Amino acid sequence: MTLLTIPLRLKSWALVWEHWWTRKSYPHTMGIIRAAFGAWLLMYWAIRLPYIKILFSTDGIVFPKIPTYMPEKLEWLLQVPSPNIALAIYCLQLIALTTLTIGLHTRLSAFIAFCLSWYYFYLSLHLFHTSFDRLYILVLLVLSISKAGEYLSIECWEKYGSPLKWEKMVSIFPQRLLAFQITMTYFGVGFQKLWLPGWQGGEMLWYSMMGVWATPLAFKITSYGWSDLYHVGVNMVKMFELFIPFSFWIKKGKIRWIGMGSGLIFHVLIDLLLFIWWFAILIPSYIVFFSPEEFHAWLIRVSKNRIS
Amino acid sequence: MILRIFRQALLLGYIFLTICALSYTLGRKQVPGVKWPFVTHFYAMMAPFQNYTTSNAELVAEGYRNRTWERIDLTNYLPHSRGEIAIRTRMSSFNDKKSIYTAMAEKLQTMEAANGRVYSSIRIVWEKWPKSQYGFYEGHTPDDTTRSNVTQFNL
Repeated sequence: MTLLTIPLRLKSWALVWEHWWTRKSYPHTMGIIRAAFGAWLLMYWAIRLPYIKILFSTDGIVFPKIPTYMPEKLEWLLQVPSPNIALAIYCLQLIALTTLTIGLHTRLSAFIAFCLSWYYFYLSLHLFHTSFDRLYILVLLVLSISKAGEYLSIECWEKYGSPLKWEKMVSIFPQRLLAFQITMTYFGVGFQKLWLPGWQGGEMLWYSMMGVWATPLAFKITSYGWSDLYHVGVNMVKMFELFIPFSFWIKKGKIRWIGMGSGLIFHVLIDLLLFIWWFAILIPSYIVFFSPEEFHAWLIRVSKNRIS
Repeated sequence: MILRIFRQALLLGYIFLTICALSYTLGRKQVPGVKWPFVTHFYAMMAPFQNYTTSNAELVAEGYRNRTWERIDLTNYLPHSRGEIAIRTRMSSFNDKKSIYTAMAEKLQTMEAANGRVYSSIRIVWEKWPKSQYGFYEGHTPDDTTRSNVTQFNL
């Protein structure tokens, strides 16, 4: 490589980079992600309906946290609202999530749900400070810049006569962002376990299964007493989490499928042993690791098989 | 063209913050010059469930009337799972926790009075007991449970 070829090489790398991140492609994957995430978040918020006044109004114990980056003039936004105002804001959140799920004014709905999720985070959810609440907020932001309403939506029904019909190719950018974030989440979670003191033995699993998150099944298992299998379990968790983020990107052989199967087993076990069910939405989200072209070809194959 | 530049700038900013978060997650190293509040969100998306404890703990609220301390059922006001209540009641978002717990006690006093239970004092206590393999409260015995007063609100 001579000095003269460097600019050409850089340009070609920049084109590859841009193509990978932002090329136009089929809208199916993001349409399905939108419907799945929308429905999940709708359920996540709807189950709070009986307690909404206690959770987010002056009727309950609510301690907002003003983020350090928030201008003083806007701090009134995070004042604890009266019960009726809280109910109105909550209804707006449910409406936005419903319209997002069915694909009506998709971007606006996602943006409203994003703003309200941010509001709820600093109003109350900050005390729970969970990874999943932060992931949900990011996903809503990504959906609000995506054209996820171009498939499986009321918008398609109105424009093309069926929610399953489509015409426009869309940017792959939102799908890549979600795939990158899911990879980084598993990567960080997995690799930190290599050095975190708590994760160096089976005690992590043993004591977690007797803690505040433990399910009756977890207590049933711990009632049989300590065993070295807990060490094996912790090492299995580490292996899963180290393997998963890389496997999603490897198309050779069945590696990607094995990675997704590992993710499925991992999350199902968490749901069975600990009351930490909020990450289960990651399982259907694995479709972001299939290129839209692959996914479209698969859909066509399936529909042809059905017809024949 | 402007949209392309904006998109790439957004992408690079996002990747940079993710790398800052990864640096802290994997090596507890903060990238110099980057303010932590910008990284928090990205760090928190990749750092759940880092440690364990050998004991269980629970925040307890008690109200004083008729010369006895009565336990207040916090689930009436914190309608969450046991795990979520445990995390929320740590008030870890706040530096000055005592003033928040006192405000909580004052609020509890008002809410309990509205339900017909008038207390002259409300106290907040942390109870801690060793974990048991047979159930969450199995180790919660008078001998094994330690209590630490957090705050008390008097009318």
